[in-house]
Formats: sequence, structure tokens, C-alpha cells
Amino acid sequence: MAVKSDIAPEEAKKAILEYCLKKGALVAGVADIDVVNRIAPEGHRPSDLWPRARSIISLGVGGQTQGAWAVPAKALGYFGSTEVRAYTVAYGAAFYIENKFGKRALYCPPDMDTEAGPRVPFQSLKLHAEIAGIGARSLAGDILLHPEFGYMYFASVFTELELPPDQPMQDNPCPTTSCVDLFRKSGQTPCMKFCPVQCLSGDIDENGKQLEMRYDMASCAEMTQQFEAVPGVLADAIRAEDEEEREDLLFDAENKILWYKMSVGSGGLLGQCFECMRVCPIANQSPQADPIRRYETRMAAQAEAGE
Amino acid sequence: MTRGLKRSQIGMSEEMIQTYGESIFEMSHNIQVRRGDAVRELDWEQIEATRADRGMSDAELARQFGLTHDQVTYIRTIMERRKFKRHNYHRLYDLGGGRRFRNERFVPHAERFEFHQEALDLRKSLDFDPRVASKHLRLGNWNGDTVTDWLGKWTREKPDAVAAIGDGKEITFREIHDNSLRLANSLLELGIRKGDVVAIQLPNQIEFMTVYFAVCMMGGVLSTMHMPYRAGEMEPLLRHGNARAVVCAPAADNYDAPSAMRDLCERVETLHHVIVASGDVPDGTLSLPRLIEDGGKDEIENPPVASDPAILCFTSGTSSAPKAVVHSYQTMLANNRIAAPIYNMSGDDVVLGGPPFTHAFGICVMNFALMVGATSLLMPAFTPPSLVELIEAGKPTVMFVAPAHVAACLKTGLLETGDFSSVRIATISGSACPPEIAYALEKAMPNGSVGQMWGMTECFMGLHTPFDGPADIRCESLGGTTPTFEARLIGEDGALVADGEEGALEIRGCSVVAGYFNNDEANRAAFTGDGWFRTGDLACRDAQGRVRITGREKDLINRGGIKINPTDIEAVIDTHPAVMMSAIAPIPDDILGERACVYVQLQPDASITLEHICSWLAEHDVSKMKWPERLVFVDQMPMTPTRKIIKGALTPT
Repeated sequence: MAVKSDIAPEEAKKAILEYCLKKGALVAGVADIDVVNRIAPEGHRPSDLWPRARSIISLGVGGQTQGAWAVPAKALGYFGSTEVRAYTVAYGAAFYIENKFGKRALYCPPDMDTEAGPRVPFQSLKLHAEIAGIGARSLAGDILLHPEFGYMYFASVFTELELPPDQPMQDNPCPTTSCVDLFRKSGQTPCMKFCPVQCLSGDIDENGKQLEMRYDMASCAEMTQQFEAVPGVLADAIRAEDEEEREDLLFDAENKILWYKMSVGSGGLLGQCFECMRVCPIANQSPQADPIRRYETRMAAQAEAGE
Repeated sequence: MTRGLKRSQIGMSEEMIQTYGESIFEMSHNIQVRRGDAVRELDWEQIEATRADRGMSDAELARQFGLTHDQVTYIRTIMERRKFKRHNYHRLYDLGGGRRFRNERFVPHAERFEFHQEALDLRKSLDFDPRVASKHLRLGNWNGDTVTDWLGKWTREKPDAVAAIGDGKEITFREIHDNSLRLANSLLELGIRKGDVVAIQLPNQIEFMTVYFAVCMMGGVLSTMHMPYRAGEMEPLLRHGNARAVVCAPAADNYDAPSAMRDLCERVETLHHVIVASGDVPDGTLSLPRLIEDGGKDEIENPPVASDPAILCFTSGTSSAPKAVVHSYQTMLANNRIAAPIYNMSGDDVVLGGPPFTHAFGICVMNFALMVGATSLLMPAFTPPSLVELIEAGKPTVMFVAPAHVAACLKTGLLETGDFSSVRIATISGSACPPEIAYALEKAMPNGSVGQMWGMTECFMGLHTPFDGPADIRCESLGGTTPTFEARLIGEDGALVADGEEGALEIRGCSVVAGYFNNDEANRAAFTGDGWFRTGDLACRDAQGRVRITGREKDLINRGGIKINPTDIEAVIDTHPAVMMSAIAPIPDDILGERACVYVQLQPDASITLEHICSWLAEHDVSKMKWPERLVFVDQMPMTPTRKIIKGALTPT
């Protein structure tokens, strides 16, 4: 491959991040790949996947529409994730980098490591975003939050292009004052209190900062990862005592949805519950947390500018 | 398998899973703990110190545990599967859209309401032919109405109107609704669930209605027990219905019902509660007023729907063993809705029901009144004077009575002296009615007309006369079929009989039950499988479609091959001045097989001989072959609660 040698790192970074924002990302940054390599667990470091990677571009898209938060949890589970929008931008960015700068780029696979099973991703996109300074870990199972945009979905691009890294966020927006108040009264923040499987717990120090975050990821996954139910239903059906029980197991409405999703490919077998984010003041009330708030912010800015 | 490798390829045993499983599960990503905010702050010392807490990768665990990477991955994924709780997904069903999760309120599906097995068994009797069900559902004959819906409607629309008058007391719709709701909650507190059977043995009084509404509210099934029944008769019925509770009257001089019912709890496996309607409550029983007083006013969480079973009645027992009839709200209330235009009743009516609520006819009358928001005028026990006094005092506008009620009033002269001016409609039903009885009642009603209806526990009303029709139709026939019903008459050869000929009455319609509960033999005999019910009645139909009941199939006397229907003969004998009432039943005969024996209850101080009876029949053109050949006197004719003679209880010695 012919590699251009006259690329100015700052300009390249600016161009790439602008590309991401133009294509729909709300935020974008560059993670220090050395830092990520040092923190990520063995087997899931960028260098484990692609030793030639020199930089990580991380970008975030917004969470759901305001209307989506108003619907029943079972419905939100269908469309609550907006990560595909982030993936599309990142995929395009990888092409953009190679085309613009003649350097290899890799759309970081967001999915699970085939050899490790369905709960282990290739890479931690969350870690990339945190080191790139576009999100900070919350008490809600380390879901990243942004003080301006609230709850986001992230995607990453690896490149052999050397780009100057950003720094992690100076401050963590989680917990908010109201969350601290509730914690002082009840020992739980809203995300902990309203988690349907009570998979969150933790502690807040005297300064209102996170002291400890405990996340029972297995319990969370039990509720949200329906694909895990598929073999369970089949195993139970095999063990059923009679035809009636077998029929119930295989063709009960809830289980038939599993077959439907598998055959039609609709809805997916991952249905996150989102209840911790539904009650999170940062996720829902940040100035630009959803399209309506972003619209209002834009209108207010225009009014102030006299437009 | 991991990466497609079998246990034997990676050196894995179940013992290894047991040994390392929990540790690997907890130290992997499944449980994550973060102390402080070290990553964001790039606090390297803290990052390294807490690396294991944040969840270790399989490679890291392998090195720490001295296992291969494949072995760790295998054990971890196996443990994730074994610990997976599939039904946690159910928690999402009650969240969102403004609803928040509350741990203390959440009840896992596995711990939620479940019918008792007996309740599920009872539902098997609602086994309708799908074509029949489809027809009634499509036509709207069956809809979503429940008794609770009807009671709720009047409680909202006219809460202070009088719902019932009984024993000198009045109760409004709001009062009886609130009492019933409290009782329903108390029944649930007792552990009685939706679908469970609650038996009741009470006369027509406000307490009966309260219990009926309460059981309907909580989704129970009310099983009615006739008042004359004693423990020996009730035990098989309670056992057959798997009753969970029984509501009975307080102890009286001649019968200690609470003690008898309490003893039955020892013998009937499912029977756990005895509820006494009023008065003193013996140990081991519950007070109905107290249950009402102590009950909560919470709305019922899991109320019944129209397809649920509502009542369990045992056929009145004029023959053989009682049969258990289960009506859903659909079959029960459809009859009332469809018959409503016939009676033209409204909320201004006062409805007097002669039949006891323990009989389907009585329940039907109560539902009629409830449907239109009328006042129910209750008659706890029948005597001719008590009936006439109640009519004069309560001034009913609509009245339902049995022929025997009218006959008794007629014989005692009370029809002529009583004031029946308030009654605009009187319906006679319950058994075949001699025309002179119907005419006599109509004559006593200066402002009303008499009609007749025919029905059975298995179908409620199936035939009726129009109230605006000529007197001969109303008093001498049962009219035609009720809307949605069809009737056919079947001869001995199994073919339809011609107009004017007697045949076995079969009927089908929106209120015919699917079959008896847990009685295959009776079902085979009575139900055709495609919706027709063999009533056991004999009838004729004229060219205009008017039906007249001529007797009961089982009452036919086979005298040397000649079938004698005793009904018309009894009607003639009953007109003899010396006779209070009569019944003709067969006695065995070595030569002819059967002969007719007439059983007579005499008027006070009267006498009669067989010869007198035969002369009376001859005078009334009854052919000699139909004359009875033996006479037996009875002091008191055995009667069902609906005033039908129990011929099976008559013996010639």
C-alpha cells in the first residue's frame, strides 16, 4: 500500500472528527491507544486484535427519542438501542480515513468474540469512549454518561494513523445532586432503586462522588438476553412430562416470539430493559439528551442570536 | 463444547465444573465491582489494584487458576447457562409507560395466581361444540357481560335505588354492592380462589343475594343447595362439586345447619369453611355479617370474565341422581338479555320471584331483576297466605310463580280474595300448568296478564308465550321458542313427529349448557353433541308452532305395550273437589308389565274411592284404558323445592 507521509496529525484528527459529527455523531474523540492497551483485559486489547493500530477514534450517537421513553418497557426493548446509527458512522469513517489519508483503518467490530461466547465482546467500546473523553462511568453498571448529551451509544475505528489523543473527562456527571439526595435517604440511587432485577448497588462518598459501583451483570443479562432463553425452552420441551406441557413450552406466546424473532429476524433477541436509564436524570434531562431537547437548545440559541 | 471442542478434547470433567464453576462465574465479567473512578482519573495504582474486581477475562482467569483458556471459557459459559433465569424477562411486562419497578410489589409469574385443580376440572364441563360457540359468539348471543358488570352499572347509575326488599328490610344497590365487595375480599382472604365452588343453602333473602354477588365478584362458582336438603343429601353434592365453603342458615329448632355443615367438613375433603348467615356462630364456623364487616373494599384484582363458570346447580331431582349443571356467565346471562323484550321490564318494576334462589329458575328471576335494575321482592318461604300477603304489601308489578303456587292459592280461595291489582305480568313456569290454573290467575289479576314459560336448569327459558297474545295461547300453551332457541319433537322411531303428535322435546339455544359436570353417562343420555339437549319432556306442537308439554318421558306408564301419559289424567283428577293434588305412577304387574296407580292427597275432611275417580274421569271423557287401577292416599305429597311432585318417592305400600 502506498502510504502518504506528509499527514499532519492535528489536521487529520480535525478532519476525521468533523466527518463523524457531520455524519450524525454527537461527540467524537481520540482515545490514547497505549492507555487502552494498558487497561483492557488480556485478549481484548486493541493490540490483541490488530497490533498495527496506532489510534482509536471513538464516537457517540444520541440515545432514543423522547417519545420512546414514554412507552412500555417491552416496546422500548425493541428499539431502545440506537447503536446501529453509531456503527454506520464509524464504518464510514474507516473508509474515509483510508480514502483521505491512505492509512489503514478498521471499523472496530462491536459484536461478541466468537470464541468466547455471547457475553464477551471483542473490544470494550465503552473503554475507548471513556479514554477518548466522550463519556464517564455511571453507577448504572458503568454505562457511560455525558453531561451534555446524556446517554449515548458508541462505536470505534482503529487506524494506523497517528492521531493526538484526547483526555478523559475532567468531571463525572454521575451522580447528580438529586441522586445523591435519594441515596442519602434510601441507600439507593434511582437507577438502583428501579432496576427490575436489582442488579445495581454501590456507595457514594461524603463529597457526593462515586465510591463504589457494583454491577451484577449476570442478572442484567438474564433479563435482557433472550437468546439465552432459546436453548432453555428447547431443553425444557425435551424434558416435558406430556404433550400439553410441551405444547405450552414451545408455543406459548412469549416463547413463540423467540421463534418469530429467529426466523423473521425482527426485534432481535437482545431486548435491553433500559429502566436504569429511564429514571436517570442525566440520561433524560441533560440539555441535549434527546432530539426535542436538542431542538429546544437550537431554537433558544437562534433566538438569542436574533435570528 | 468450546470453540467446537468436546470435553474430552479439553480435559474437562463435571467435577472440574463443580470445583471452579462458582469462582470463575463470579470473578469473570458476570459480577463487576469498581472502586472510585480510577480509569477516568487514570489512577494507575488503583486501576491495577482493582483489576480483578472489574471482572477478569478468560485468559487472565486461566493464568490465575492454572487452567487452560479453553477450560475457563467452557466452565464460564456452562455456569452462565446453569444460572440463567429465563423468566426474569417477565419483569419487563409491568414496566414503562409511567410504571416503575417496585421490588416489594413484584410477584414472579411462578408465584402468581393459579387455579385449584378442582376449578380446572369444573371448567371441563364448559365443553361446547365449537360450531355452537362460534354461532352464539358471532351473533352476539354470548357477550362479555358478567353479574358484576350488571350490579356495577346500577350501583353507578342509581346507587340509592332499592335493589331488594326482604324480611321487612330494604337494601339499595350501593349497599348491596359494597357489602358484596367486602364479602368477596373476605372470601379471598380465606383462601377461596377464582374458580372455586361456594355452596349456599339459604332461602330467598338479602343475604343470599349478597353472597351470590360476592361470589360472582371474586370469580367463584355458586353452588345452590335446596332448603329441604339435609347433610345426607348435601354430602354427595358438595363432594361432587368440590365445594370449598358453604353458606347456611343459623340453627333452628328443627335443624342445626351450622353443626351439620361443620361435620361435613370432616367428610368432604375440599370443604374448609362454614359461613353462617346470621345469629349465633358456633365454634369452627364463620359469621357472614362479620365477614362483610371485616372485608376490605379493594377492587378485585382478578375478576371473572363472561366465559368463566358462574353457577353450579344440581337438577331438581325429580328423577334419578342429581346432575351437576355448570353455567358460564355467557349461557346464564344470554337468556336474560334475549328474553328482556318479552317481559318489557324496567328499573321501575318490582319483581316477585316465587321459585327459590337455590333453583335455576330462581337465579334466572334474580338476574332478570338485576339486568334492568328492578327491585327484587323476596319470599323466603311459600305458603298461600304468605304469598298473597307479600303481593298485597309489596305490590309487585312482575311475578314469577310455579303452577303449584297458584293451585294452592286457588284451592284455599285466596286467589279470589287477594289483591293482585299491582301485577301487570305473571309468568307461570316450573312444571306443566293445567289451563284452568292459568285462567284462574289471570282472572285474579285485574290489571295484568298471565303468560307461561318453559325452562330447565340445563337451559333456562326455552319456550314462552307472548304477553300480548290471546288468552288461549298464554293459558293453554307454552307458546313458541324463545329467540335463539330451536325445538324439535322426536318420536319413538327417532324421526320428527308431525304437528299435533306427541314427541320427545329436544331443544338447543344460547343458554343450553354443554353437558353435566363429571357425569359421562348422563351426558350421553341427554346431549346429542351438536347442541341439542334431550329435555325428557313430552310435548305436542300445533301448526302455529305453539308447544304444549304433555308429560315426562320417564313418567310414561307402559301397560302391556300401551303408553299412558299420566299428565292429562292427573289434571282431571286434580279438579275433583275432594282432591288436593294427585300423581299417577306405575306399579309393576306380572302380566302387563306396568299398571297405573293414582296417589291422592285429599282436601281436609274429604274422602274418595277409586270408583269415584274413575267415574270422574269417565265424565271428563278420559278413555277407560287410561284409568288408574289402584288408589293410594298420601298425607303430604313429596315435592321438590320448585313445587314439582317427586314421583320417585311415591310407593304403593
